[in-house]
Amino acid sequence: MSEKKTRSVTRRKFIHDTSLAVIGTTLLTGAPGLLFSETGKPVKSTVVLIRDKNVLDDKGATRPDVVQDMLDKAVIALTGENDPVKGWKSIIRPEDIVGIKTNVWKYINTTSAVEKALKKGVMDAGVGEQNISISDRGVLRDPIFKKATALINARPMRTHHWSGVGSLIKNYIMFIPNPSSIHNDSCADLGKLWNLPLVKDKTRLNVLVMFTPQFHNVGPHGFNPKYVWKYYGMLVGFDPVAIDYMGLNIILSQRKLFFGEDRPLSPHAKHIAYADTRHHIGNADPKNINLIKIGYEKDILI
Amino acid sequence: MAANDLTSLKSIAGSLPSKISGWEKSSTEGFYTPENLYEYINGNAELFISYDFRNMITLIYNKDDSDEITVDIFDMGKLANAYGVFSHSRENEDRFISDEVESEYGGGLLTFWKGQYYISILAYPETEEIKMVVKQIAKRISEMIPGQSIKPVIVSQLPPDDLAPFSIRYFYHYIWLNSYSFVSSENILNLGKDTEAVLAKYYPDKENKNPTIFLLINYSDINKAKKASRSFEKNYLPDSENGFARLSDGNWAGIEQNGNMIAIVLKAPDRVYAEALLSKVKYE
Repeated sequence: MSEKKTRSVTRRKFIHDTSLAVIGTTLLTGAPGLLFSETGKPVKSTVVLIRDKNVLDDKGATRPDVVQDMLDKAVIALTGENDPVKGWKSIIRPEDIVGIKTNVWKYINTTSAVEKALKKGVMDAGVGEQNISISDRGVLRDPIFKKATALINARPMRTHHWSGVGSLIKNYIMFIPNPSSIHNDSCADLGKLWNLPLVKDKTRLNVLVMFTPQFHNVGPHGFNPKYVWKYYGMLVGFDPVAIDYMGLNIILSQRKLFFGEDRPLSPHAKHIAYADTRHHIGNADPKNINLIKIGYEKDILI
Repeated sequence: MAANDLTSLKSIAGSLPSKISGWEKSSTEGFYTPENLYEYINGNAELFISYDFRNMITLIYNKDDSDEITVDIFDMGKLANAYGVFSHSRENEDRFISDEVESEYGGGLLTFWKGQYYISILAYPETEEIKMVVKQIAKRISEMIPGQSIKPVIVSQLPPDDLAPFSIRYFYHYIWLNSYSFVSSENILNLGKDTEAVLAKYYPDKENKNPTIFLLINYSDINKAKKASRSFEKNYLPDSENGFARLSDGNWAGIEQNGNMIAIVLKAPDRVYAEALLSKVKYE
């Protein structure tokens, strides 16, 4: 039996073990429902791109109420439920112990607004606050992450000197004690992080924050505000590879727009394609990605 | 300077004023080597290691507890590496510090190179006041570094006509081969520490935004150049005729080996232009 077929059988078994309501949702939306945490990539991945021009105030700061609204809408679209709480309940169980893997990069981070909105969603699903932790560089020392039954993965999209882009896939690099050990071949095999025991089969939701993404790298810190633009968006879904693929294409489109010519990333963000073809954790083939667009459409770039 | 000799870096950092227009220099400095640079700039460390970085010093200027200016001085071991890392991602060049120093300033980030040093000064968020402080710091650093900034000879061997000067990238790690056009994920040109390469864009038609890409590589001996040439033809131009081929995107590519050197043209609009560029390389 092929590897692909094996995963398919596993997926069907998981559906069988899940509530009828979730099964209905899954079939309705084409989204994998609880399947996102299962080994192997889904046949088709749904990615929600939600944008709202009001998410940034006049000074460029994130508006928490708008972020909450965006996440609510994304969860509804993704799960097919009619309200966000029901949506979250189809993602997280009350008995789950939940680690929210964030990203604290000094210049562009996940934002506290996104972290709080995610935590609210997890609590709305019935998880007690004592069973939730938000962390980035401390995940290996965090007692909640050590015994987590579920993970939420959230980070901003930006270009990166060595991996091409800082992606959802890459956000799990802190689950290894020596992150630089995976830098070989421009981080080509970041996908294998997702098979670590601490991580494997646990990720329930991925959020790629694209309020102010960075599309070009200069200098040792890889940051220059000159190459940051207001995109006002978030990509939300179950499949990190499919989301990263979409985020990457938005970055590439912005590069073309800004530089006036095709400008491939250097180095090429090969880890996204390899996460599909080599590590089989998701879809990087647009034929297998269903993109749902919600909200502000101007300069959407995809 | 020996790999772990921090004397010069400390001397440069120590010469910086303790106070500039209300900005105070931090009392502590950070030192990093190739072994622990990732602790400071994580994945970005690989960029510097790919240019054989030796060690670096970092310090901060603070004002009002919130704003800060981060000064990073990298000892790259030799001039070529300092130029290489500067050229890696700059989009422009200015004379922000002085006529003698190549730099790029924008958005609060100043990068420049002088001698074997690459310097970054990041002030975010940017204001006109901070910009002037950055300039003062940069001038002082520049004054502390003796000598001139002389680019690697291979840069001057590029064909001069139609060249976009700020597009020149100097490197020897194969990963940077794909900076302008994807060539390969593998090291099909056998690049390494004993080679040096320059990549540049050429615009044959000023109205046309599609540049031709030119690559020039210097190997340590003729046999290595020949071997790399064969590898490129086999992997990238399997259907070539005398080293030239029209690829599936309609553009032309070509390769020429001359002594220790290889010249490669990618994305040329036609074969005539590809051949013309190759003929203008200033081989020694």
